[in-house]
Order: sequence, then structure tokens, then C-alpha cells
Amino acid sequence: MTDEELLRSCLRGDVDEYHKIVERYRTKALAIAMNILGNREDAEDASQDTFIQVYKNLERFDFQRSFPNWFYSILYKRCLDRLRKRRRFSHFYQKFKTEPSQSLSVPHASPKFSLLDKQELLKFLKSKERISLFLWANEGYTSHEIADVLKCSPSTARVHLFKARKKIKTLLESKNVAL
Amino acid sequence: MLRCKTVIVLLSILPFKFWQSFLIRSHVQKCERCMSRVANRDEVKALIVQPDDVADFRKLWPAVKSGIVEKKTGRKTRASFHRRWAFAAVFFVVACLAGVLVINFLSKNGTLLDQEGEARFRINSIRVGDEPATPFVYQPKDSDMILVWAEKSL
Repeated sequence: MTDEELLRSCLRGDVDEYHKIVERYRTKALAIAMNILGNREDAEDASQDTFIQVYKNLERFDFQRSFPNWFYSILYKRCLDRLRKRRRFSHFYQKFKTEPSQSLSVPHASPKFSLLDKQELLKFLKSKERISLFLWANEGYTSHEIADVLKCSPSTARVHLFKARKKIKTLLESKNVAL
Repeated sequence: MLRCKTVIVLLSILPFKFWQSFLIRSHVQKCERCMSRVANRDEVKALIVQPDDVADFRKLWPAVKSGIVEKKTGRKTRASFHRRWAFAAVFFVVACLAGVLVINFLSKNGTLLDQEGEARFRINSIRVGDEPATPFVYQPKDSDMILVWAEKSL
């Protein structure tokens, strides 16, 4: 069944059909959230919130539009909300923290990166750049499609993607890693 | 070669995304040399978190389903919440009105002052027709009534 058929069943009140949508997108959603948030717990919460919000707003979904794009744009907003909350909390926390925060360092890179290495490397990228990279590399999205998710112009999306790719290349070159 | 360098410099100094995008489209994406300076798809894939990295995701569906059911009943909960507030507001207004009525009733009948115990008052000076006068205070026996009168001093 296509996404559209499943969503129409959900709109008719068949909640269990939504289970299939969740199964179809859950690992992608978590991977994107992990890329943006860099933390598994927050990523799981953001993914869960997104699936609930998507179901809640299903009546507003325009079937002329791509469901994945709509889904990813909601997921992106949820991740940004989490980042904002975390930033607010960390500002508060920093006031009470006495030891200096650790500076970012590029982890020892090897052709096969561990999940922790990836999370460390992603700290060098902005959230827009991270989601642009994921959508471009994994989903084969064009700058127009990325723009639809980020709610910006295709030109802006193209620049985000280019800068992200350039940063990644620089990071790899700085460690002389050849993949 | 020179053009590539110029483009790189321009990309870093141009303030608007539109111009940067124009340079990327018109030159970088067509230039092999420039493209070798940015990560390709495989390099990016190796560096970002992949769905396979997070395959052992916790059981998501039960949490999502309970969230969905909660949202469905959310309207009902909200309605009962509003109703409770309406009841509380009406009760408060009625209680205020009742309070005002009781106070007015007690004040008119003059018993309110007596509730605080022994009625006490003080006369600092009394004048009748711009002349100093002598005050008299009289309380009949077995009565709460107090009579006050003034008499011109001779």
C-alpha cells in the first residue's frame, strides 16, 4: 500500500493503518533526529512527538504534496523545538557549572565511523546543514525538495547543502581520511 | 583555475544566499575541480547517522498509539476543564453577591458593630451653635441602646 492509501485509511478512522506508516518511517525519523539533535534520548522523543503530531494534523495534509516532505518538515520543527529547550536548559545549567566545558575536537577518524564519532563530527554543522545532508545523501533530494522541507527558497537550500558538503570535506581532509 | 579561486572568494564574501546559489549553480556544480573540494554522497553517508545505526529503536508504536488516543480524548478533557472553570467563576460571583447582601443587611440593622464586642466611642469636643457644649451619654438598663445628647454650657 502506498503512503497515500494508508493515510486515507487513517482519515477514515483506522488507527492501526497508521502503525504501518510509523513502521515505514520510524528509523528514518530517528536517524534524522539523531543527526540534528546528536542525542538518542531526545531523538526518540522528537520522533514520537512528530508521529503524534502528524496523526493529529492529518486532516490538514494536502494530498497534492509529498507526504515524506511534510513529515520531515514537521520532524525538523520538533527537533528545533527540542534544541531550543535544551539550549535554554544548558544556559541555566552553565550558571551552576564550575568546570570549563570541553572543547570540540574531531574524533579519531577512521573510514568506518562509529555512532559516537558521527555525533561528534556533526557538531561542526548547523541543524539546517545536517538535515540537508541527510535528505540529499540518503533520500536523493534535490535543493527544491530540501527547500520544501526547510520552508526556505531553493537557493538557500542549495547554499546550506554546499556549505555542509564543504565542511565535511574539510573535516575529512584535516584527518587525511580517504573513504 | 583562476575562475575557481575567484568563485571561492566570492562565495565566502557575498552576503546573499541568492548570489551564492547562483555561483554554485553556474560554476561549482559544473566544475570538476570545485566539486572535488566538496564531499560526495558516499563520504557524506559515511559521516551522518544512518537508519541502520538506529535500528534497535525502542517500541515506538505503543507510545504513539497512546498519544493518539490521548489527543482524541483531549477535546473532551478540555471541555470538562472549561466547564469546571465556569462553575468556579459562577460560584465566586454568587459568593461575592451573597457576602455584599449580608454585610448590607447587618449594617442596616446595626448589629454589625456589636458583633465585635463592646461598642466603644469617644467624644473629643462637642459644640452647639458654635458654643462649647457638654455631652451626655446615656445607656438604659438592660438595653444595648446608647443615647448621646449635648447641652449648652452656661
